[in-house]
Amino acid sequence: MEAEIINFLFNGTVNGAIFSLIALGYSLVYGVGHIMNLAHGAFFMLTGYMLLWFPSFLPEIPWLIATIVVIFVTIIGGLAYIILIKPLQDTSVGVVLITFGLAFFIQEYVFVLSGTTPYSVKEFKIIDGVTKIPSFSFINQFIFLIFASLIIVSVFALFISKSKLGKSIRAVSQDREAASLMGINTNRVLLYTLMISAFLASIAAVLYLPAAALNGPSMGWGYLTNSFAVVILGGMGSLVGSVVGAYIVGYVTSFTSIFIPNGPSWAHLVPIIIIVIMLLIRPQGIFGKKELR
Amino acid sequence: MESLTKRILAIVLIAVIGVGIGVGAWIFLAAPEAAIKYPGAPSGFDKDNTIVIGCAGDTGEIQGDANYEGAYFACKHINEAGGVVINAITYYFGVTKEDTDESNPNLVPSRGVDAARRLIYDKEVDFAVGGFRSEALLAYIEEFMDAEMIFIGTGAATDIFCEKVNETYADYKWFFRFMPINSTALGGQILYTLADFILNINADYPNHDVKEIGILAEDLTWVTSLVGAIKDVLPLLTGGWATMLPEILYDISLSATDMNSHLADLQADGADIVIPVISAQGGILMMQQYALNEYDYLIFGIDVQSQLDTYWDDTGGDCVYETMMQTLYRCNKTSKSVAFWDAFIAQFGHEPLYIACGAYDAVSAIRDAVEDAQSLDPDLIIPVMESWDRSNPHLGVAGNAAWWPNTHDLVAGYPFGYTLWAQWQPGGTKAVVPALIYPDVGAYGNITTGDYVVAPWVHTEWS
Amino acid sequence: MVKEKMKEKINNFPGYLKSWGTTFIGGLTILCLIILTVIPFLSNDLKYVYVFLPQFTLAMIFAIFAASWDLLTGISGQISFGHAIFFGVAGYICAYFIDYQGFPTWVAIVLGSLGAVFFGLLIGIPCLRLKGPYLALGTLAFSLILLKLFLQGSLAHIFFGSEGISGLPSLSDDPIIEYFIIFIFTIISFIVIIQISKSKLGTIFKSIRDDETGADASGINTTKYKVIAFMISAFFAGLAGTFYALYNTAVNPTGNFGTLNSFFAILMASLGGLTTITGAALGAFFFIFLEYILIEIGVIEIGNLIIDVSLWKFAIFALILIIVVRFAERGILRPILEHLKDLWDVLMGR
Repeated sequence: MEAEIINFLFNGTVNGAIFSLIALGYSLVYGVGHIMNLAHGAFFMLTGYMLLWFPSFLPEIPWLIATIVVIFVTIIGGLAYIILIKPLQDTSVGVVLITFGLAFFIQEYVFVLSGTTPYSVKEFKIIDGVTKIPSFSFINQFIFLIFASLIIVSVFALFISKSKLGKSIRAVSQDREAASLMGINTNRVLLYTLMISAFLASIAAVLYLPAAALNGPSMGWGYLTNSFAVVILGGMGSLVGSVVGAYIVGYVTSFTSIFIPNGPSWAHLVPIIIIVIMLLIRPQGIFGKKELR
Repeated sequence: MESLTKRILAIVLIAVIGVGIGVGAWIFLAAPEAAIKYPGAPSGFDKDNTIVIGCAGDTGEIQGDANYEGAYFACKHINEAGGVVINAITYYFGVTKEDTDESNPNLVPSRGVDAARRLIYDKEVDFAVGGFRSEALLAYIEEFMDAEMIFIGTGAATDIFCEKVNETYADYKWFFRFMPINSTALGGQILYTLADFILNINADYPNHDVKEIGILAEDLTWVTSLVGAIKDVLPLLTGGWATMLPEILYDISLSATDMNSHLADLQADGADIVIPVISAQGGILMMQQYALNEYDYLIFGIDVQSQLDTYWDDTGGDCVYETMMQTLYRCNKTSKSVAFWDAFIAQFGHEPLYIACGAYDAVSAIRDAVEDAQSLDPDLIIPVMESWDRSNPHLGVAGNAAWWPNTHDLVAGYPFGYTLWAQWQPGGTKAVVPALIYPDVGAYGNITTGDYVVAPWVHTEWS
Repeated sequence: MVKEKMKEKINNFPGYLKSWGTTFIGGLTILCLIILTVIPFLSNDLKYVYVFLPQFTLAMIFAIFAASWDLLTGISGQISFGHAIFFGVAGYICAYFIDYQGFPTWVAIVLGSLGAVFFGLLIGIPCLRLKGPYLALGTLAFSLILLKLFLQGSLAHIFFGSEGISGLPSLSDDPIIEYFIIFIFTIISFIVIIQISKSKLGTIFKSIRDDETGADASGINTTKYKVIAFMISAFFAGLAGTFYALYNTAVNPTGNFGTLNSFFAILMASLGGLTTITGAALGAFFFIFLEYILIEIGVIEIGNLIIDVSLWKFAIFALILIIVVRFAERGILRPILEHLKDLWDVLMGR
């Protein structure tokens, strides 16, 4: 029983840490620009595969490659905004379609290059090995992930509340028209927002996937669904809500998987059921604003 | 005046577009010769006298490519050996493929149906081989049956296909399965092997009881009957010695943390041996977490991806000590196995996947059946293929193909359809380890190529 | 009064048809219908009949599906990302009654479509409170729940498991007859959907879409009409779903409940142009034939450069999709019609 509880707490925390990184960016983009970015999961997936592709023609310095990949994906996020999302941002269906198209394209591109075979990218682990206590063994990379995630989230919170760009982002998310009247270039703010969101998804992938595996080109969709659950739970556009929601989803998934009979096959239904229940009971989420738009 | 010019211009434009569409459609319909390859056939042979094999599989994916490679290689061998003579006319074999897109996680079944129709009506193949994902094959198999074309399954393990042959023979008699043995039979092979293995390993470790058996399986239909059988029968086969832990059936979209928590769960429950039943991506997650955490149980079961030679690199060597069902490896499974294995690697540069072995055997069998029947008429060929029963098996590279009467399903068990058990060993080599279901020494020499190695951390724990 | 009006309409119908036929839209529609009627008889090449023609059948099935989505989202403003629910449920119900209960195919089709209507009610009521992206996510979540439940092997005794139900009879063994059955149903469905969108009901739907509070204030029972929109849309999505099941002669969770199906409907309808209904048909044909052409092209060899289009087809497909969505915000139907209209006017000397 003790082992199971530790198992639940550890894996729940890891889930929460990874979901919070991914969902934070998703929530930010939605909150600021009302952009439903379906390619968010694809950024996560693409980062993993780029780690796989890179070593063949670069010196094998993992942290350098990882940095290049993160920068690259961040740029892709920015380009996606400039080329695809910006011209369509007034039509919500248009944005959904174009980001779906982008996600689909990235997925198929990865598929052509790597197929659906799973791959390991464990050479990118920052800390290898495990820490064992008698009843459980902790994977060091996951411990690192938890702390890194907490630090990144805190830095991000500081950045949003203190920096100039953070203040503009908040201004745009509160009232776009007023912000643009105040002389804030809303399009540029949105561009930065999308880049930050791609950056967070990419960082999440760099931290998590080396201890996990590349699970096929369609693995991004699962994380996108989880982001939906997190964001609905925390309230769309609420950053505090996203982090809290991420940990709740993480723990609930882990709990189902370990303690509920037949749980392993239900665990991935839980986030979706959370979406439905929250939408029906409190659509604005735990921390959401009252209005529904 | 200007409007008249405009009008004339518009009419000309429409005419040009109309003619363009017409010509395009005509070129499209009178399509250039469908791409069919005749590997190894002598140049200048009469293309009318060819037997075309259609490969239904997911092009660009390992399974689909393996199917094509196997069929291609078989055609090459047949043609190099002079084809087949029917009524004094020499026929050569050609091979072609269509993409069913069945490995796609977002399956679109109509693509498979479409591919099957292309094979039948566009490329006008004489026989078809393939199929990997049961639900996709279930949809497009109907096309082949409606066209009364012999279709040989080379990848899907579900019982249902051969049950259909049994239930409505008249509708499904064109279906045969060459690979793999069906999931119920797979269960039998696991049971006998494991029961024997458990008792043997217990004798090796006097200080530790190896008796707690866990099951880690995908929650899919093909798994359920297999898991049920293992759960019910394994304790009986070991004389009540082995006890089964609650099985873990996971959602196929699981993440690494989920897998880690399942493995930790098994560890906490005190598992000694874990039987994976995995066909999809879960295997790599499992082996990665297992190797990293050095959980003190053995992994012994089905992990389809682990049959690939690239698995060692894909997992970064984490699959070491995993023991799994392996259809064919370089060993004397039949008298043809080693020669086939080496020739295949020389041709394609990698090991043949089980589907490639199945497709190779299937096409070779078609050749023999055609020769015996002296006809391309399925009604004459089917009786020949049905005559390959336990007393008269058809010798292939992956086993002696023999059918149960009425079901067109492979007979399981040595020396007919059986699986090898292979272990990934340190250094990235794979060894065929001894198992009860086949003798240490086969009819053609040694089958086993190495001894089972207990993972060192488990060995320390158990000693 | 209403009856008389109807009678008058029916009496005037031939004349109405005649005057409609000479208008631009009417003429174009009739031309398309004639082309679609003639197409099956152009060739009796096996490839033409068994490979090329079924693409039309498939495109028409998806046209109904996409049009039903357009009715719900384009006309009524209820964004659905989970249209695969109705598509899949109807397919499964149809398959269940044929395979397990031995019902005649047509009865099963009707039962399947009605089952979809029931699910429209079931999903519509809880989703009433939701708007915009929330509704989209809610419907998406419902479809994912169904997908996962049906996929589980351990629930196979209830939901048929990951392999679904197979061995269904097709609508007809002759692709030409199958084509015409679907063709007739497509025409009927489109007439009904277009008439609904033009009728009083359609006006109410549009008023809910444009200003729900306003519609509520002017005495429209928005709750009732939203559920009605869901049910009507579900009926046609279900009809398409049963046809799709019979086209494949099998149903399985990913193939019929997959999220991809929902996105197919969205893509097709939006490619054609939202709220146009007929745009959905254009989008479906564009979509299906784009894939067909890419498969047909196969391998291109330019000197030493060999491009295997069949391997890249979905990537190219996605790229074309992105380009179309990016540059044709309002769909491709309206610009095409406008250009054709200009041409028509030039031809007529106007």
